[in-house]
Amino acid sequence: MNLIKAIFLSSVGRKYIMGLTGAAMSAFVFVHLLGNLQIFLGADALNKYAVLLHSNFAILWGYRLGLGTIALVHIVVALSLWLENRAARPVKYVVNKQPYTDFASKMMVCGGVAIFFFVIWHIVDLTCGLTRPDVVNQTTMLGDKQVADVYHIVIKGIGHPVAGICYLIATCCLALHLWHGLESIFQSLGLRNKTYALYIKIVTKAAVLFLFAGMCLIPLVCMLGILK
Amino acid sequence: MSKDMNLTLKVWRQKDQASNGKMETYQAKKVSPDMSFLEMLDVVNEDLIQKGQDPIAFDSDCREGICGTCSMVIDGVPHGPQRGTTVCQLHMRHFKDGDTIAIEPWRARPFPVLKDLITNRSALDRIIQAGGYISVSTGNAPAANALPISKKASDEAMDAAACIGCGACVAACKNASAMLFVSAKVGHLGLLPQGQPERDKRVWKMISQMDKEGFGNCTNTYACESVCPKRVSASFIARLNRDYAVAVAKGECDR
Amino acid sequence: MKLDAKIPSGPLETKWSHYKEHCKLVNPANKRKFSVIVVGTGLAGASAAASLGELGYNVTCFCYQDSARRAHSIAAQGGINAAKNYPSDGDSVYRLFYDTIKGGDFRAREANVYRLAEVSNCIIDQCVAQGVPFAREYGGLLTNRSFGGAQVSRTFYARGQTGQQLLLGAYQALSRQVAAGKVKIFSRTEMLDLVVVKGEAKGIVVRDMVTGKISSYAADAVVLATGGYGNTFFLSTNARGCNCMAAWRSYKRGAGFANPCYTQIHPTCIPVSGDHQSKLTLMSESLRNDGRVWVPKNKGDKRPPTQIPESDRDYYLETRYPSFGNLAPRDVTSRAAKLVCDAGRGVGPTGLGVYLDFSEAIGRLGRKAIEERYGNLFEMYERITGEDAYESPMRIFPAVHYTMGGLWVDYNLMSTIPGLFVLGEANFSDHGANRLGASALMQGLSDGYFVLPYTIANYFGSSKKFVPSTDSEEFKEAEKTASDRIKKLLSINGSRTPTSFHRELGKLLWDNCGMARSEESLKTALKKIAVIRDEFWKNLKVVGAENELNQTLELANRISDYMEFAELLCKDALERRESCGGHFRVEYQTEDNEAKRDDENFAHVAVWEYTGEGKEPVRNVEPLKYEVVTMSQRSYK
Repeated sequence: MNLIKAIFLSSVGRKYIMGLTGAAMSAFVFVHLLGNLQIFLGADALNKYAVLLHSNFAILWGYRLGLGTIALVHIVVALSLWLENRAARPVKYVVNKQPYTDFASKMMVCGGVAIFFFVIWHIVDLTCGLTRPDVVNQTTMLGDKQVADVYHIVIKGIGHPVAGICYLIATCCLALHLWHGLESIFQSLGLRNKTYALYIKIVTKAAVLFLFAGMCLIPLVCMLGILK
Repeated sequence: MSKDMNLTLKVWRQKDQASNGKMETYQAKKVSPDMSFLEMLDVVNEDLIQKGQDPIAFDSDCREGICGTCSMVIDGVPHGPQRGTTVCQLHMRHFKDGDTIAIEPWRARPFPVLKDLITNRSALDRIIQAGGYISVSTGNAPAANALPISKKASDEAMDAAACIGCGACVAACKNASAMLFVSAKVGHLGLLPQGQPERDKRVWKMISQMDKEGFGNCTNTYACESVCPKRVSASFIARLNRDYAVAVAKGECDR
Repeated sequence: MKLDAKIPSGPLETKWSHYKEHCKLVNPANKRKFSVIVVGTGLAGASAAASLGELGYNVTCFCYQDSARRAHSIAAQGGINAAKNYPSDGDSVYRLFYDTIKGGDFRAREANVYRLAEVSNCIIDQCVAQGVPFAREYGGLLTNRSFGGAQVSRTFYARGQTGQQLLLGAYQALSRQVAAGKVKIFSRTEMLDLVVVKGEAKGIVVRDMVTGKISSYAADAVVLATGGYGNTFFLSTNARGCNCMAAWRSYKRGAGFANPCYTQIHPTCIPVSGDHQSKLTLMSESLRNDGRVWVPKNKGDKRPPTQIPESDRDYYLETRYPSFGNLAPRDVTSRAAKLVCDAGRGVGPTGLGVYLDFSEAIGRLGRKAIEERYGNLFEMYERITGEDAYESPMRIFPAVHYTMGGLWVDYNLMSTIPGLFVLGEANFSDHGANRLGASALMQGLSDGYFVLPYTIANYFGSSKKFVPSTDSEEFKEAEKTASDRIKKLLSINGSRTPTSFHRELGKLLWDNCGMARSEESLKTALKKIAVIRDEFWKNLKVVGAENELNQTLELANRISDYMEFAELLCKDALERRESCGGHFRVEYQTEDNEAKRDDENFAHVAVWEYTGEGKEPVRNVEPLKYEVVTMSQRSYK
């Protein structure tokens, strides 16, 4: 039983869980972005990629369920930590400055909640197509097969001004979350020391900036009608 | 010589652990820039006693930055604005005439306020008692030079061992986490060959005790190392996390 | 008062091993039936409590700080001596013994000092095993540095925080015993009185500093490790909380107080900046390796130091002591600074300071080299004074630092009250009239780790076991005495704060019983102490109540002891009609102003015996017999 406690109930054990699940989701986000950036290679490239992703039912659903579970664990553990952290200081400082604590780390919970709601909407809207069936049900011919026209789904779906702005806001939240979170993974998993600290900082911050730029670019080009 | 200053102090006053506290305002007049912050409070207190009022209770002892007794949050920052400095070494030349200064105690559930600015930090003692030592009874020691230790390891152990146990790391952390304190001791002893036999047990016991005391959890903001008067690095926390994972993986938790 | 030092017979080198081989023991199963009270958790107290706990005794430990780890041993910077002879520079147990005896101006007991030198090596082994990160060479072995008063490098150190690291080692050993259930620690608890039952020390009365509750604890023996009385002078390098209550009240219960006039004044402290000053900060003695001490040649020269040309500077240590120069010993250097300041040539706003100038060293070695050697000290100086010592010279002045005197103990470290053991700075110690640098840490740990565990067993094994109930008459009487004193302090309701009295007393002592003392100054002091004490008990103002956390009350209670103790200090200084070590009587000096000992009449320990409130204490004498060393005059010319 102590093993369960050591991993799921202790402060450090849960930091490992946060770090590992965070790392998995970060990896997904980067792959997702790289996949989506194929939009700049033209309709066929993106549509072909979409077909590839949907080609194996077992892998697809295994992947979806796995990612969903990881997200759920990340959220549940985060909430438990958050509640404990609040309880650890029952009387707040009158001058509540939280010194030397950067904005991103203070926004982890808020940003996380925002991302959670965005992801729900994103799945409902574009993956399930429940809100805008006309956008999602577009198809096209790839060779001699009829496939979902993901290229135009994206352009039309994200190009809509309200949706596009939502995407931009969500991207800001995600980037802020990762601005602290990505570097934090190394600390939480014990993979940081004085020598590596600076390199880890530079690499993770650069990765977040790349992600931010890439994720902003797609809604912007769609909204501005650069891609049609 | 710079001129004397007049300051307004807003100080947390709390009769005892059971009472509620609140901020009260005092005037500190003719404060010399050469005074230490605590000497400024001494002068205010002398005045309060003369008036028959209860002086502001605060902890201090060595007043040279090493015992770790002094503990107050000045304008939201533990130990005040000068980095790498305990409040007893902070001098009034860092303030300006007319300033208003807010002074509060460390705030964390495991550090209950005993009176005004004095808190009970025995939780930190209990964490050390849980395993922050090397078990060697008096007289059992092998010859000092029997075991060479690389200068690098020894110096790094000293960096961690410099912790004075003041608790500023807890006070500064937005979650009131004691990880820097714990990591300093785990790092100090874990870096030395003498500390190896109990390394896994130590980290498991100390973390378990820390959790039991009700400290918050580390979210890697590094506010702790920024306020640490001895500049203990938060990289020791990473080391602690690593040691913990190894200890758990080896099954230390069920031993 | 019978003073039997109980020094074992036989040659000096084998006294301690002979003692250990023949002393009484307590068998392992019986140890748990014995209880010990340890007061103080500095190096001596923590190491003693931990070691006794390891052996199986039941230990109860008290400290006034909020944690055992904060005792003032933590502030020692320089290092700890041991006769390991790692540098192979000719050190030995005998040499460490001889240096310590000579440094103490031939006023310490040979057998005790030899034992100290003997166990010094075990201390280093023990501390390394505990994980104390002593400085090391690249090859991984321990390194040493040289320190005042010795011609060999025998000082082990952990950066500038040796005391801290040694104390944390002892504190951690103590914590292990707390976890094992063998030691119970009461922090924020102050000892108010000693309880003596049937002539033996059997308990203490304490005050819980949070609730104000006064209660008693009984045990088979009481160990005091409560530090020195330097704070009697108000301004000293001691921590604010350091006080002499435990020692003084034990004296009033019958323990002899030895050599109170031996006070060490350290030459390199940061000068007082104003009336608000609450304590003084020491700068390591090592600074004098590269710094040159000087004052302006002309009285009242107010030019900034950098604008005073060489021709107008007086490097007085270099002229006065050509062979030792700036590295003259502590007592000599302190007195020389006093002489130039008395002549009106002191520097700084108060005129009480001399320059310690690094410009020559910076020119010779470069700023970087100086930074590497003393960077942390320069930073500390900057924190306190706001001045950059790389640009203009430091200002330093002597300050009270350590007290060699203390409760008298025999070879067993037992006071004149059976069952009351006294360790560390609190006893009259192994340092004679002057302590060498890096020897305080050595003595504290020697007493606690390696001496007391043997001698306390010898006491238990050779006396009849009994632990009285805390309900007994003696305890109730002691509790009442302590409580009455507190009530009295609270009831005066005069108009002066405790600190104002303390400051006045301290200044009086510093002026009349400080670096230089004379019959006249001491008689003046004695007269004025009585006046101040009188006013203290008539015009003191303490606010708040007794049954709460009340820092003013704590302070007033401690100061009330200084008011009495200061008198004994001056009396002892008056009666010791010679100059030796830290005790300098202006009447007894050589033609060139050096201390002049009187071995014929004063080669003894003066032990004061309490005879009752308002009565003259009795001065007893323990002659010092030197069987191995020959007494000689110290010269640094």
